[in-house]
Amino acid sequence: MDQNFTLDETSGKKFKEHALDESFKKAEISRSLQSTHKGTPGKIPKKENTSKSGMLLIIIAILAIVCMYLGPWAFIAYDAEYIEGEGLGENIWILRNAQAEDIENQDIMNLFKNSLEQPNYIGVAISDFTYTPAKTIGGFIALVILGLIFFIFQIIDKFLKFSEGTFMTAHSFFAVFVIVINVYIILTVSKFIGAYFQIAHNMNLEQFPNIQTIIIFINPIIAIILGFGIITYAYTIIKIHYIELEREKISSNVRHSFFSTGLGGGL
Amino acid sequence: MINLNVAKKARNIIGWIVLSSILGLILLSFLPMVTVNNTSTSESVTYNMALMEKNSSQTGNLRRGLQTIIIFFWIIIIISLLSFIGIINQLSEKFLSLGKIFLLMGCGTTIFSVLVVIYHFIFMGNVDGLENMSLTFIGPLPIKYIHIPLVMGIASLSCSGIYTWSIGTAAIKYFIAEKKSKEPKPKKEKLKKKTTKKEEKQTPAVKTPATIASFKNRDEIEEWLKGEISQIEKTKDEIVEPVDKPEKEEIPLEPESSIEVTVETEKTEGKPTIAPFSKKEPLITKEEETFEKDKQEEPKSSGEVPISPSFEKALSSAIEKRQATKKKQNITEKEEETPKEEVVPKEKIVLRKLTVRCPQCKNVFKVKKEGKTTTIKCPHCGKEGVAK
Repeated sequence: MDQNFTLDETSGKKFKEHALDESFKKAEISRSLQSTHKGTPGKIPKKENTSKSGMLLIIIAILAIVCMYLGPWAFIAYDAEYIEGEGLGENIWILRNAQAEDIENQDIMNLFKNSLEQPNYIGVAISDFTYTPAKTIGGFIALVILGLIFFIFQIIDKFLKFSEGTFMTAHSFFAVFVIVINVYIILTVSKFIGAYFQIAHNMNLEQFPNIQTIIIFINPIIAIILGFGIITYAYTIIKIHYIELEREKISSNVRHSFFSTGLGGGL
Repeated sequence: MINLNVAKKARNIIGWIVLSSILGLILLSFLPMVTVNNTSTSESVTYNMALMEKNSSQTGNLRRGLQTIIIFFWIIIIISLLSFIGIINQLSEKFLSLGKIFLLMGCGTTIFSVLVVIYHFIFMGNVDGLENMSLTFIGPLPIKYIHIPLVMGIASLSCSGIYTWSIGTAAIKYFIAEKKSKEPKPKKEKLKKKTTKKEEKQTPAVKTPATIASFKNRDEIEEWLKGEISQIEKTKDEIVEPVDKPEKEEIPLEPESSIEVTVETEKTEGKPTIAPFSKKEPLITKEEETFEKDKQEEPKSSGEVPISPSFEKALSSAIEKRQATKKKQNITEKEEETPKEEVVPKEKIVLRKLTVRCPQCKNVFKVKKEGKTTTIKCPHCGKEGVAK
């Protein structure tokens, strides 16, 4: 080479540095991409999404027990003729463990009375105000126990640190038990809802008590609403676990394709 | 076992199965089902399941039928929920065997849904068979109450059918693939065993140079060498033939298994170039070296067998033939490697593009170099120079 013209080593170095910088930038971008795919579901730990479900279940179940234990099971307003200054004629609040003697009005007593001569026509007997509340309260107590077990399981998890798969499976099993218990509760109190249909169909009977009544089965309605609410919540928990796993699977697939395309490997 | 699409589909279906089953179960328990006509009073009393329980003498059989349907609905609910857990297990890849069982259990919902529908029809048939009983209509509508849980049962049946189809096909595919993956393994093992046996058989036949020393007489060595030469002559054609093959093949020279015929490549500045065979590696192998050493040591060691002219001739011819075959091998290897590597002169690649700095104006620019010397002209100031 001519002495006047010298090879520019500095420009070569600069070019190398530039190439290295670009490669590092690419690497950083790829790393950040990877972290975003990985991080979005990972930022909020999966276990924390449903960690309060046990406590929530216990609270709801305790409230339901209190309601079922102390609250009225039926409100009946008979001879509901509006009198100025006095309101409705007479009102009856039927509580848990109600007896036939508690109901003064004979027509209303006949509504629930079941005898061989004259069967009741609404499908709800006086005895149902004793057995059904007991069954319902038993169901809610089972929910409290389940909630407690899950709460204890969460405490154990803090020490033993189960894997997410194990946690999700256990949680899903709890949710299934919760759903089953709530279906049982709804099934138990559904006869009170059936009573409305029976009244509508059998009202025209001669033997049917000739009463103008407004009957509201308060506690059964509350139990059904709570039961459906808890079923929805429990099913949502299982669904949340599924969605989390689905997201994880998708993100893992993205990561996999990311490496296979050679963007990361090429560096 | 299942991919994401199948899992998503199964999840949605399970949701519908659970919903329809729960609704069917609850509706069946409280909706008025039967109307009993009293002939004496010409009145009709409507009975639901709770009322049937109270009046078991009249409607006991019908109630049992409904209870059976309720039990089937319960089973459907529990199985479908467990199959949801199975999906979660499959996705989380934990308790996979349990997950598989739950997933496949979900297919059982089809059977119970079918039973639900059948028992509905049986119930309807039983009620129609009784004189004083009929199914209760929904007010003035021509639809009966029993049709509502029946619709739920049919919905459950259709959903469970879709579930069974999607999961069943996925499971069958999975098990077939698993079977296929398991099948070739024992074959491989067998092949391995066979090869190892062959190797075991072959290895003791190979005579290593160490065995040469064990020869006691010169005649034994001569005989052995003659045999070797004849083997070399036989295998010569076999060695030349596989030249066209790209892969290296081991030369089936049994006594020469210890001889290492390697073509070393030297990497000069990251580019491998084939080193000339004659310069790099002496063709005298260990076996030959031992012979040569023997040759040199012969006059020194007294009492040993003297070299006969026939032995010398045989040895020299064997060496010559071996060299010839090795040269041919090397040539063929070079021919094979050259088109792949495309050995380009280093200078052409490196000096094709140059970045130079003008001594006058200090301008940095790139030039293309053609040939050994190229004239360069600065685009900025116009100063001319030569790059060699």
